[in-house]
Amino acid sequence: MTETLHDQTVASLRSYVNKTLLLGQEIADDEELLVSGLLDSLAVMSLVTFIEETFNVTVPFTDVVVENFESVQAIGQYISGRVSLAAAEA
Amino acid sequence: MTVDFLDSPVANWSARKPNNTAVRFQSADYSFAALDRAANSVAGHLVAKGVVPGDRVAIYAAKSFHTIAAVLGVLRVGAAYVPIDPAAPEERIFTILSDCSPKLVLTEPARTRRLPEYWSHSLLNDAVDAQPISKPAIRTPDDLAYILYTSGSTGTPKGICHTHRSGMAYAQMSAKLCALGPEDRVTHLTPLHFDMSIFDIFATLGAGATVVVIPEAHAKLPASLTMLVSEEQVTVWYSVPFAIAQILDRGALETRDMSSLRLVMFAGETIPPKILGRVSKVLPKAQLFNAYGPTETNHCTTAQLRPDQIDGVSAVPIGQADDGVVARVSKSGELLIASDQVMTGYWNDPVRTNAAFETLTHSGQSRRFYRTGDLVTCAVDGTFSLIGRADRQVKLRGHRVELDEVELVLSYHPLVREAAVVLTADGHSLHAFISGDINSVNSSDLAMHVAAWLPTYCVPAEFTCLTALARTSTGKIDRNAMVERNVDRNAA
Repeated sequence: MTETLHDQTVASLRSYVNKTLLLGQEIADDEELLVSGLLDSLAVMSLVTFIEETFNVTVPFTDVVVENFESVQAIGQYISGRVSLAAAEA
Repeated sequence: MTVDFLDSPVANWSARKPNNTAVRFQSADYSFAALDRAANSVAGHLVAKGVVPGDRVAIYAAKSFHTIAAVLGVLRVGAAYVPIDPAAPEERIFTILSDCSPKLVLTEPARTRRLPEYWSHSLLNDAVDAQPISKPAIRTPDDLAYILYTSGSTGTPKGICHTHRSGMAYAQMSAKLCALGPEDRVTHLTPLHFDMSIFDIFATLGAGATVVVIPEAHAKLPASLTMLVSEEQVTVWYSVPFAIAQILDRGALETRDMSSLRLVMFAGETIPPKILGRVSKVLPKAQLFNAYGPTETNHCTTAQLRPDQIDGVSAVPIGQADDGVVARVSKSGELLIASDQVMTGYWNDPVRTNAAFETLTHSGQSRRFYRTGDLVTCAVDGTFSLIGRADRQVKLRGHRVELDEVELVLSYHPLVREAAVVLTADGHSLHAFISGDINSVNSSDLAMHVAAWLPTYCVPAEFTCLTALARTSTGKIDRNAMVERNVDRNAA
């Protein structure tokens, strides 16, 4: 995935998290999403659905772990990895 | 050896087995000696800040090794700790602070900006490194030890007051019930402001066992949670049913070894029979306990479930009164509890406190019973079953309807995962919120399903299907939130 595409991914993710999940609260890309009490477990489920639908990738349960979901930055990296993988397999 | 105070067992274990592990947090080991020292440091910090016996100290932080040290440190200076939900909105934080006026708030950097500026606070990081005290303040077992705030059905927070005596009575009873010993590794999954943490911390440490702190992020990510349970070789799991339901659905259990679990105990709300059935299949070797008890009494009845009680359909009993608990059923069917582990009352609210208790004669003695507000039936062997909340029993067009019963019946439907039923604002009909296989489920099927089990007046007039039911920060179903969101949606 190119740098620009990755930036676009993070931007659309950030916008979803800030507008839909956090109802307008701004959060830094490296801020801990789950520790701060901002997102609950239901929001995590919505986020997974958003990722699957927006980026056309599947997110297995085994991937919904702290390392991949702790911040906007981590989620962005995870999505880019999934998208590249899907492209390589296609 | 003194065990009169909630924090004493840690000092005792620290003297006897200093190197045994008291707490596991983020793959680090904290010995009883280290925990005892950190608690004394927090106490030293509090003394330096002017905290004196009888004060309150709030703890506003995500749970960690530090929060456990803080709890013990506050108790050692003779003060009471008041946990604040780390995810609480600012308005609620302010309400709690104003209600119990803590001398100080122990917190962490990420949260300081959400505290009122004029309220004194200290960082936990600094407190655990302060000059330690050499011995605890002079106290009595009847001193206030902690206040837990619950929202209650009216929404105004109630501060539930427990003393060292009531907390210890519960910690000792529950440690014995679960046969906890130094080899055990017990989950600390629920946040500090929720009463289940009393078991996690005080029953566990009292038995010389290890508290395995589940970081907030893991609690929300079932696949990480199951990995942690497996890596940490957890032996005892204690949670609301929702946490277990999540790991059944999304915990990647087929790739995890959960065989270290010897006991799984639920409390906090009714466990759907279907979920219990699935738990027993996934964890065939674990003992399953269904515990019951409002924050006011601590958990006070337990069902030690036998395989024949787990058929995936029958409502799960709440079991028999625990050791030291006297349970009676009032004429109206309400469960009444008398025990040393019952709260002293609501903070600063004698009217509400008086209304919560009833003095009755038991075995020739006058005893104070807490009115739980829960309607129960009692079998001949003393096993209680919950019918529902007294305030969840509604009159609908002249008929008495148990909302909890309608929810249970809905949960029998193969496509329904969970159901929450409320009376509509006009009081004329029922509204059901459903989670489950929402694309395949339709309202008329559900209505017919309820009608097959219950009288027609129990059939909800309206069904709202959601991907998941709303939850409070403690994992309980949040019916008010769903009603509010529904109103907002309709208004939009």
